[in-house]
Amino acid sequence: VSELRFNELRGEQVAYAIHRQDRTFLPSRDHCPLCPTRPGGPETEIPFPAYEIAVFDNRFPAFEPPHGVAEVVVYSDDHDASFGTLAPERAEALMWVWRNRYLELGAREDVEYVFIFENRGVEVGVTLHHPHGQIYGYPFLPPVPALEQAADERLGSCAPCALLARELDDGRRMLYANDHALAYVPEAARWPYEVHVTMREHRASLLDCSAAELRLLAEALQRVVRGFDMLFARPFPYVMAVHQAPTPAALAPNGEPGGAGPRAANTAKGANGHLHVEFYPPLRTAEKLKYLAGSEQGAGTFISDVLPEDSAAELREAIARGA
Amino acid sequence: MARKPSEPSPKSTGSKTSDSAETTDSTEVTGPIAIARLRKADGRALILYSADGDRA
Repeated sequence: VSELRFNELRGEQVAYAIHRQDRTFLPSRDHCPLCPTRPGGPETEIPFPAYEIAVFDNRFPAFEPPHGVAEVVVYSDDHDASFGTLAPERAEALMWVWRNRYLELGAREDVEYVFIFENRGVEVGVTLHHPHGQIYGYPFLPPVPALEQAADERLGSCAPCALLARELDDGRRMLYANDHALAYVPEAARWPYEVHVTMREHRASLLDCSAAELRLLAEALQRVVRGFDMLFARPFPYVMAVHQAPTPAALAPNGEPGGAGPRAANTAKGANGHLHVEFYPPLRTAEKLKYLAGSEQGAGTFISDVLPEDSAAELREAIARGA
Repeated sequence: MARKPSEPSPKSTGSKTSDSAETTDSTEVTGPIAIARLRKADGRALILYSADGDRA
């Protein structure tokens, strides 16, 4: 059972989930719990010999009902696949899975924020190599989306809309664009190869996206990840974070977008957040990690060794090679 | 993304290789994907998504 404690000095919640200390840690591929269950083989989390995309309650949850939820999203039954190598149709289907989970988990009374993410690589703490992501349904609004809401207020309108307009105007950090999604290294990136993929039009969440927008969001994300892998000719570790509107403001009481009530839609531009996906890669060179050390941890100020304009130039070339 | 022959669908659990999950009666579709909801033996939910839905 998880426990929340409030850290007064930081003004934030800390979750204690001590059962996670015993979670499965880098098993051999023969004992991968996310692989299909082969006839005669050990039983895995998915008791079928094949599947496309699977979602299940995390066996070692950081949050669990009635105080939130934690799910695992397995992208493929192929142990050696990755988000970047999924067939385009599978990546598009994953967007619909994310949308479905956002809608369903967001409708729960014990969930205030649905956070979809992927940790890739042992450098960011991955414990299972099989391609997968996770979803946490937080029973409170976490600090990062709260800061994004504060940015909306500070700028007087939707911050991601304003920042995207700035990046398009400047142009030096743009990486990739299609009709509905754009990728860029932010002007004030905290990580050397940080990338944001933002919807061209204001969309509070995946629920607001058309089928074409979901398809091109998947395409943009895959282009970025394949570019990452091309950059240093190695699987590129990252944290991928999907930022959307807090669900109480985005969903009606019955779980459908729009309507009135305590979870009534409030989709006025800038009121809810703006769907975008942030990548935080920990590498600063092919072999060197960017550590969060004294200034980052003790003072909260990132010190970067790379200018965003320079890393954007490298990534543009890598994305072109990975196309 | 054609479904593999042994995969479960909203209509069938396919060639299940253990008795640790049961399918609920479900015919849900969202966009281009179909949803099969199951419950694992320990009570945890398992949802399988496949490309069976109508193209939006």
